[in-house]
Amino acid sequence: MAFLNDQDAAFVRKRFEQELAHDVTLEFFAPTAGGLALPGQDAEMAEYTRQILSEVASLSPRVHLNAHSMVAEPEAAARFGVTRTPATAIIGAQDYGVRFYGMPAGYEFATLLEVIIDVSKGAPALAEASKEVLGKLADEAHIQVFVTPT
Amino acid sequence: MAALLAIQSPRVRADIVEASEFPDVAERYNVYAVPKIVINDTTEFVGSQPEGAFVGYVAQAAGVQEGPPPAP
Repeated sequence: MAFLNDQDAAFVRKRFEQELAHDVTLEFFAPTAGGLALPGQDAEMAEYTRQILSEVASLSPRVHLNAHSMVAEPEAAARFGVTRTPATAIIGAQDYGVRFYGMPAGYEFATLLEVIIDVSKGAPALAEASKEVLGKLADEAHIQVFVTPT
Repeated sequence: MAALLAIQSPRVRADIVEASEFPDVAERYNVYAVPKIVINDTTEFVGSQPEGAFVGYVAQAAGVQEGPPPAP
């Protein structure tokens, strides 16, 4: 089943064409993958998420999807710092530490698109004052943004 | 905005968390309204913020090194 209708797909395809600079890889983690399905809502949510990401990746040759199993590939999960699923690490020219936890549906689909484009560009248009402060941070900053799809 | 700051700085990482799918995490951080932003478990705010204010919260959570930059 397609999540995007033809009009939306065309819109996303065009934005990707115009705005993507570097390739972006979506490193997706489900509780499991392949033929072994875990029962329950979590597995279903993860599968829907994988389908959405797959559809997004199909809209540009610059967007790639790697689907992982948290159970079968714990070392990959550790490499991307993923501890819960469904999780998507959005990787551009380098790993900027941007992760999306949950299903990117509703408003959050738009958020995912923006993040993919931002990561692809890699050089955010921030104010000089912001860049200066960010360049002088004493410790690491872990930002968690809680959102809902509606 | 959080993602842009993470892209800009290697010291910043950003998680976007769909709250309803992770009720345990949402409960831990008392998420009653969205967007809610939590930085290093110490600094938090609700609602969209302009760039300068957001960066200010990040600076508050992570601290800023004062003084002149080291000589090249």
